[in-house]
Formats: sequence, C-alpha cells, structure tokens
Amino acid sequence: MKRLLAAALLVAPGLLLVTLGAVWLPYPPAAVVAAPHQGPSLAHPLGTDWFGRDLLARVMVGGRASWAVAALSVAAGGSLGVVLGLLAGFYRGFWGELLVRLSDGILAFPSVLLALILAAILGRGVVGVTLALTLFNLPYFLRLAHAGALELRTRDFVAATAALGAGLGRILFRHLLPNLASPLLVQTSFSLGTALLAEASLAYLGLGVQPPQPTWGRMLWEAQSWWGDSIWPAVFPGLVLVSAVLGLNLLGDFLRDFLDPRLRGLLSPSPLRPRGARTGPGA
Amino acid sequence: MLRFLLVRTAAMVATVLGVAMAVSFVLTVLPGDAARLVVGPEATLERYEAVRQALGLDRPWLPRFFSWLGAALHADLGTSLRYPSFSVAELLRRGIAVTFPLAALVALFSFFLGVGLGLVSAARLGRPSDLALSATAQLFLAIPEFWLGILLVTLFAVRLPWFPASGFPGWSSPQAWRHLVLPLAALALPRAAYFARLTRGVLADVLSTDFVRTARAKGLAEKTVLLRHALRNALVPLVAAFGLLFARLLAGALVVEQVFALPGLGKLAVEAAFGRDIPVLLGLAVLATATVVTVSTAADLAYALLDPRIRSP
Repeated sequence: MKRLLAAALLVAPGLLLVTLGAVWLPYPPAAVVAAPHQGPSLAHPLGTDWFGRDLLARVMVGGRASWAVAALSVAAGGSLGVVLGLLAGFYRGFWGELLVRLSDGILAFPSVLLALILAAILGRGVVGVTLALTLFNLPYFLRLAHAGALELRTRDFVAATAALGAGLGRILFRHLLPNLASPLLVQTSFSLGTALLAEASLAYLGLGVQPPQPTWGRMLWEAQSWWGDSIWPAVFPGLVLVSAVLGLNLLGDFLRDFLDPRLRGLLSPSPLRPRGARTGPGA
Repeated sequence: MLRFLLVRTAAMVATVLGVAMAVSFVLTVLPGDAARLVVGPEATLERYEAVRQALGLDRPWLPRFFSWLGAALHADLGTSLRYPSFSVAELLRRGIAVTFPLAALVALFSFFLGVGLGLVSAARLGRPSDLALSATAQLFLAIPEFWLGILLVTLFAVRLPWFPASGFPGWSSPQAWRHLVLPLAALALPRAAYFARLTRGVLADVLSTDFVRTARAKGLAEKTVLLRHALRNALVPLVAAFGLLFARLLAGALVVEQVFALPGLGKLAVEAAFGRDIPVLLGLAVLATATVVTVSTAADLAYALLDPRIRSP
C-alpha cells in the first residue's frame, strides 16, 4: 500500500496540473507576463521562460497533448491488440502465427524512424504521432492476449460455454477477456508511461502538436536554446514528465504484485521481455 | 546448429525484404508530390517531368520497387532528393560513421555497467544498498534520454566547461572522443538501469533455486556461487534482452543526436522526414531493419550457444 501511495503521489502533479489547467490557469500561457529568465518565486512558482511567459501555466497546458496522445494511443493500440491477440490465440493456425510474427516485427523497427516516416506522409501533426504510438502499443497487448487465449482455449469452461451455444464474440469477450484482465491492466499502466516518454521524444523532434500550443517535449526542445541564461525552463517540464512516468511504472509494479504475483518477471516496465527466455530452472 | 543458422539467415533476409517493400509502398501513397518538391513551384513543366521520370514516379509501384531492389543489390540506393549531388549510400555512410560507434559504445557500456550493478544488488538482496540501487534504477528508467542529455549539457558543458556542448569534428580530430562522452552517458545510463533491474530480478530467481543451495551447502564462497553458478544461468535472458534492446537503442540514438547536434543517422532521418526525401527514408528503413535483425540474430546465436535447450526446439 505504501507503494500505491508513492505511485499516486508521483503521478499526481502531472495529472492534477493538467486537469486543473482545463478550468483555471494562473496566467494566459502565451502571454508575456513578467521579466524573462526568472527563477521560481511566489508570483511565478516555476519561474518564467525566455520571453517572460509563466512556466507553470505553460506546463499545465503543455501536458494536455502529452496525456491525450498517450491515452489515445494506448486505448487504440490496446483494444486492437487485444482483439487480434484473442482471435489469433483462439484460432491459432497460419494466420494467427503470421499476426504474432508481424506484431513482433513492429518491435524490431526503431519507433522514432517509424514516426518520422509517418510524419513524411501525414505531416508533422498529432495524427502521425498517435498512429505511430498506436502501432507500437499494439504488439504488447496482442502478445498478452494471444498467450492468454492459447492457454485458456482448452479449458473446460470454454468448452462448456461453446456447448451451450455461445457465439465467438461471447466466448472471447465475456469468458476469455475477464480472465486476462489482470495482466492487461498491468500492461496498460506500463504502456501509458512508455507512451508519455515516446510522445515527449517525438515532440522534442518537432512532431506532434505544433506551436503555439505548448507540449512538454517541445518546451524542453525550445528551452535548449536558452540554457546558458536560465536552467528552469529546461528542468520543470521534464521533472513533471519523469514524475508521472515513474509513478505509472510504480503503479504497474504494484498492480502486478497485488493482482497476480505469478506475473513477476513476465511483465516489466520496459517492453523488453526476452522471447522464450527462461529465468532459471522452475521459473 | 547449421540448420538453426540457415533458418535464421533466411528469416533475416525475408524480414529486410518485407520491410523494404512495406516502406516503399507506404511512401508511394504520399499526398505531397515528391517531384514537385525537388524542382520547386517555379520550375517549368519539362523540368518537372524530367525529375518525375528520374525518380521513376511515372511507373507503377511494383516495377519501381523491383528496379530499386535490383540497384540496391549493387549497393546503389538512389540519389537524395534534397541533396541531388549525394547518393543515398554516401549519406548513410556518413551517418553510420557517427551513429554506429556511438550505439556500439552505448550497448557495451550499458550492458557491463548494468550487469555489474545488478550483481552488486543481487549480492545484497534486501539490504539498504540494494534498495538504493533499485530505486536509482527505477528513476533512470523513467527519464527520457533527451532530457538527461539536456541536463548533462547544462551541467557539464554550460555550467562546468568540461565537455563540448554540441557538434562533432570528425573521427580524425583528437577531440572526437570528448564530443561523444555526454551523448554516451545520456544513452547508456537509462539502459544500464534497465540491465541492472533485469539482472537483479533474474539473479534473485536463480539464487532461490536448489542448485544454488547445493553450491552454498558444499561450502563454496559466495563470490563463486554468484559468478560461476548464478550469473551463468542468468546470462541467457540477459543476452536475449540485449538483442531486443537494439531497436530501441537506435531509436534513442536518433533523438539524442539531436540534443548534441551530432551529424549522424538521426539528423539525416529528421531532415529526410521533414523534406519528404523518399529515397533517403527508404534507405534508412532498410539499414535500420538490417542492423536490428543482424544484432538480434547474433544475440539469439549467442544464447543458443549458452543454452543448448534452445538449439533443439
């Protein structure tokens, strides 16, 4: 429970500031409200940037795009991955195997390059970034759902349900899916953290939400030109981001141990679960 | 073992071909007109048509892909659209000269540092030093590499003038290494944290097994148990993770190069994407896939050697 509290406390600043920012902002985020390059003070808790804009207001607005893209891509990639994974695991066969191989293949392609290629086609905006992150979230969920369906499909309760005349949709979503809720929930927590990091990296490269709308990643990129004058614009957006990601990772750890201790080692915050690797005899 | 090698090599070639086809297909549905982009809006119709033909855009996708493939087999990946005087192969070669040594150094550093710290952690399981190490690793896993890069530059290049902040003078310069220290740190520290966490986790599992208890019971020194017995069994997942990590390492390098203005593949990729330089993007995609597949196959090979159970499926 201590870990849950820590996770909540870490995610809170990023989430609360952004939520609060939807209804109230200390200053207009694009307005010059004070002298530039100020450190934190009572009037400007996070200081001001190189133009004299209030950093707190900009951090509050900047998180919107980060959270929206992360949540949307995890939701889209997650649901698509679950559906495809359940189907592939339930039916097995050539197409199922092909699907699993393809989704593994996505992971072997550098994410940033994929996002850049999509940006060349769809433009630099949010659509390309969201699509790229959706593609990158999909394989993790597909793999989990596939493994789960493979294991559960031979169980008696599935055979019984089928014998009672349940259709495919009912078997997959009413009977298989609830049994996989724990690992999928844990993965969602980790994926959200990873997606936040990835969104920031792409925004740093200039992809995603375009100026004048701020985002955490782009704020850091802009701050880089002024790092000789003031360090605060390069610190605070990153700090909020790291705190949120750290909190989500801890939340994932907590959920994993709380919901199902057997998942330990199967799921890790970094998406690199060794294929076919055993963690030791009896693992 | 020979069969294993053959199957893996065939899979490698198939993957690279598949990616090349997919990327070239996706890039042909570009809404922007590549030929128009090269010649600019002022050009005459004759010049526009000439460039269009030079790019092969007047032909359908499949024949174009096959002629690209034929040329690619002779190491000819076409010409850049943005820099018509440079071949794609030459641009890639220049990028590789910076990015690959950096990636290799990061891979080595993070693996050995991470496994080392993981060993220390596992040897002190549950004690304060282990908890401190684990917490630090957890923290570094949540830090984006580019932000770590920014902080490192601010500290060690701007505030303390120990290292250059950006740019790369080329390998012939005696200063070259100093330019790579900060990018190396920015990329290697989060990955070392990952390996440390993984090593600690795997070792913790191995240390609770019967054969380790036997090794301890027969009076072996804890050091021997840890290094000879436990680590050896933990190596397989570690090497496997090493192979999988490489795609993400390349992705990370692309971003961190931007922080330090290194003239590597990252700079090339960003410029090519924003300029819709199709031949360069295609070349980059093929290069990245080939590299990742080669490294992960090498890692698979290494752990097949380490663990005979994997060789015979």
